[in-house]
Amino acid sequence: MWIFGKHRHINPDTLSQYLDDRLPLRDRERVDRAVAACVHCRGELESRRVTLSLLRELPPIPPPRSFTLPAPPVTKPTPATGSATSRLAALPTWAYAGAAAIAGIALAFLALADAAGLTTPQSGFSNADAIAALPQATAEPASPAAQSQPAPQAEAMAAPAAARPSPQQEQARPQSAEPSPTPVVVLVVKEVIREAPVEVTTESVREEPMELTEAPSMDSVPSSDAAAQAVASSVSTPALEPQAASIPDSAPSTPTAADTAIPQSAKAETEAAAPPEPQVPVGPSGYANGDRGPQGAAGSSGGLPPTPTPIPTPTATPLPTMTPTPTAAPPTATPTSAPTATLPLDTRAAVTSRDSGAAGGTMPDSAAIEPQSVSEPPAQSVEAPLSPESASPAAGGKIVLRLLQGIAAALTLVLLIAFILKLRRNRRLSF
Amino acid sequence: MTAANPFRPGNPNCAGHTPLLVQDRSGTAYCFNCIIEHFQSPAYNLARRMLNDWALAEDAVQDSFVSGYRAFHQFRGDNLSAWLMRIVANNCRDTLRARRARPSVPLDPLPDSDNNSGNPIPSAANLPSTAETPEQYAERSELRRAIEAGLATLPAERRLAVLLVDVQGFSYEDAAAALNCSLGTVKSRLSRGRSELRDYLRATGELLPARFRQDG
Repeated sequence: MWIFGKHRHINPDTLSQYLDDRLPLRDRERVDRAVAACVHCRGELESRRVTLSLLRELPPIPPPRSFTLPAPPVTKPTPATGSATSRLAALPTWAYAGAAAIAGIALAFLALADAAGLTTPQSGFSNADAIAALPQATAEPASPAAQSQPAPQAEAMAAPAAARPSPQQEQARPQSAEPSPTPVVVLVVKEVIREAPVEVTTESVREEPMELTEAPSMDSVPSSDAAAQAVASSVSTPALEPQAASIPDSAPSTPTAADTAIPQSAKAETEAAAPPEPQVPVGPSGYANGDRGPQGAAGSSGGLPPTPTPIPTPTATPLPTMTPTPTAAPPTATPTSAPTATLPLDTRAAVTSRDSGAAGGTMPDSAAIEPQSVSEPPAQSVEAPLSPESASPAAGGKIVLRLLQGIAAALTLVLLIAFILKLRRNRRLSF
Repeated sequence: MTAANPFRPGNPNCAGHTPLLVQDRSGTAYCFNCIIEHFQSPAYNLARRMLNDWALAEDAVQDSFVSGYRAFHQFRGDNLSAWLMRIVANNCRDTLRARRARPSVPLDPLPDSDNNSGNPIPSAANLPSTAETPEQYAERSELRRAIEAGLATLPAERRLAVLLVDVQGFSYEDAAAALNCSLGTVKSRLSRGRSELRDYLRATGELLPARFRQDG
């Protein structure tokens, strides 16, 4: 081929297509002219033609046997005979995609929980933060339940000591006060917290009562709310204050300050209106005498006014609010069978005192307490167990979340790789 | 293929084997054993010359037909030979890759020594010839060995292109479909494979018959 007075040899690809008659007529004539004029191009074309003839003269190799299939081959190994790998490989492609999607959703959920500041140390996640998110879910549903059935509860409270709830019914209280609508993230955090902080709260409860003894003077506290706030301010650090409102009820650990403050403060106001009567010291903690309440069985013997004991039993059952037992009986509506199972204890105390005021009730000193306001003290009484030492459960929850995130990420990655490999294998067989 | 399906179930060729019914993507029915009987020779030739091992070639061809049977519902019904050769070529690639990862020396005798040992493994050298003289037979055997040795030196992709187009007689388009590449890629691989094979044959030109010798 001559270009600008200089000869350029023909491209080998062009020669190859020339031999296969794949060139258009114009290019073919150009190659013919170049081959006629250039010895090198002619030799190149002849050598390629000889090679091509050698290849085309290769004799066919007959197959040694027939490859026909006598029977349809087993397309998929049965689960009994196939190994785990072959069974996984036999899964359809959409199964891999679905599993990868599920794992990805789980990973996204965990990442969302992480992004919400529940695990990062910078966000200062602790039990206080987690529990602070709970009051909307825990405290609110309790009061409507209390208002819905005031009369049977009052009758139950007026019943003799034989009708008082058994310890099993006491265990059922936290579950009866369980909120129904709860955000999902809050539930996750709640579950995480439920697992870890058992020992820590117990220890903290045992250490805190020494401060409880130095609570503000009982005389200066006008009501149970103020008493509880006073206890909270004297006991807990500011970081732990949000925990108080989150615990629904039945925290019988350290309510004694408020418990004891209520009679003394309210007694002066209501003593004339309500006749004195044998005390069934159902305080803000909600424990009647004979139960695991602060006064224990001593109060049930009757008549004795609640003594302002500063430290009744600080070690008494700090955990029921955190870990409701699965054996708890469901709340019943019949007042005779389960008198105090569904009603928040503080509300029950208020209702009891209010209803029994005219009929010779047992709680004259707390007659002016509203149900909504009384629900505060037990929540704050749980504040003591969640001391700064209980921040370690947050680390436990963080580790659990990190572990779940890692597992979900690894699972997603593996399933995606398997899905891609399966797609590639299918594409090789498709046409 | 759909209009005049030579592999429809119940065709006259179907009497010699067990009917094996399959359906392509459009629902057209085929007898897969008829397909096997029609394509087993080019499939074995391709595998045999790709792998240079008759046992591996047999396994590759059998696996290819089984894979084709399982995946026949994905066949669109347009080019059956290219579809099957693509499966064979993929199996040959996998076998070459596995053999490269675990190299081994076959204990089986070479096909050329089959005549002496009485092993009935067929090959082009073992074909009966009534017209050839011993000199012609020796010359043909040398030529075949030289070409196959030259083919074995080619890279796998170029070897596949040369075998499909020059030996099997595929068109460029069918070869492109079988190799899952573009038409230009087939042209390029074919040209380079032919050039490399020519260079190899030139280097061993003394073994070639006189009519194939080139001045260089």
